[in-house]
Amino acid sequence: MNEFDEIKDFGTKKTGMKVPDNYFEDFTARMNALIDEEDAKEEETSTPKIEMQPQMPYSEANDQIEDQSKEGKKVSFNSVLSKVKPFMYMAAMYIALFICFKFFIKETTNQELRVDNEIFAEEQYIIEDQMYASMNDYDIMEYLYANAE
Amino acid sequence: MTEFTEETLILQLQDEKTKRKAFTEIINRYKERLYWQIRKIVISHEDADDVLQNCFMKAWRNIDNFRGDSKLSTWLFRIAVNESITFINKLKQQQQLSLDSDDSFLSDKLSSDDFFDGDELQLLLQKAILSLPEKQRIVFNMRYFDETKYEEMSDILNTSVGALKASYHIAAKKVEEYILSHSLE
Repeated sequence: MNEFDEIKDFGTKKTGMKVPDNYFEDFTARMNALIDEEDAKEEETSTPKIEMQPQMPYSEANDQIEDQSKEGKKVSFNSVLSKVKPFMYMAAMYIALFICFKFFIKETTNQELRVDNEIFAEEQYIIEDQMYASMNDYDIMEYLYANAE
Repeated sequence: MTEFTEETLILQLQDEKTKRKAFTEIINRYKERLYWQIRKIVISHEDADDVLQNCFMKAWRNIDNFRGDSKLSTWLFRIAVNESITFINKLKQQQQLSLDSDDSFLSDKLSSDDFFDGDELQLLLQKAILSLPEKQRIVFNMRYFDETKYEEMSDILNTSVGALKASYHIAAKKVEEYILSHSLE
């Protein structure tokens, strides 16, 4: 019989490994404490999922959020709304600014075009008047003669 | 006292009100078997304790996905084996060893572990087992020490019964050779 046969016939097949006293007795309590800790951490980090319907009344939405929050740590609809409010105001302000700016640009452009056209027409008359005023009889004869050719 | 069968445990796990109590029952029921399974792979008690905690924590996090397609014990043993292998691979990476290398580096842990009081023969047997490739080592441990049925091992390790039998046969041969060669020294 060699040494391996001896091991094979060990009967209890012991590994020679042992555990500290009361290890298994205490393990369940330790594990439960770890799970509780993990669950508490998860609750802290998780945010409630809000499923808002298009025509859901305020009170119903508030109730839904409160139902989803766990163990007394309530997250109300008001607190969610108060967080979203500044962003909504900012968006409204940008939209209003954009509309005003667009309207102002359009008005200014039209006005400028109208003024430009008036100035142009006025300038044309002034030039013609000046041109005719500065002509003497000789110039008129010369002009007619040149056009006749 | 309430008698928990596997079916009632699974039903209770699916109910939020009874889930926690049912999981405590699972811990009580399987902690010892899982511990020894893990301990034989990772060798030191401290490491086995860490891996056992990770194993139950993983089971708790994923308990909602357990639908009873396999036995609860099979599912838990599979988690335990995977967690143990992951742990060993991390140790190998820390020591800059190849992941394909055997687990002989754990021999030192065994000799220095306060919770190992085996005699020379048991130490030699453990060293022989540590010289085996990882999969053969797990198969040998499950079959030799725990006398786990090949069918159950097949479910846990996701390997065919034929392959497991061959693996155990080769492992036993290697262990025998190791002991014979080292006892002659």
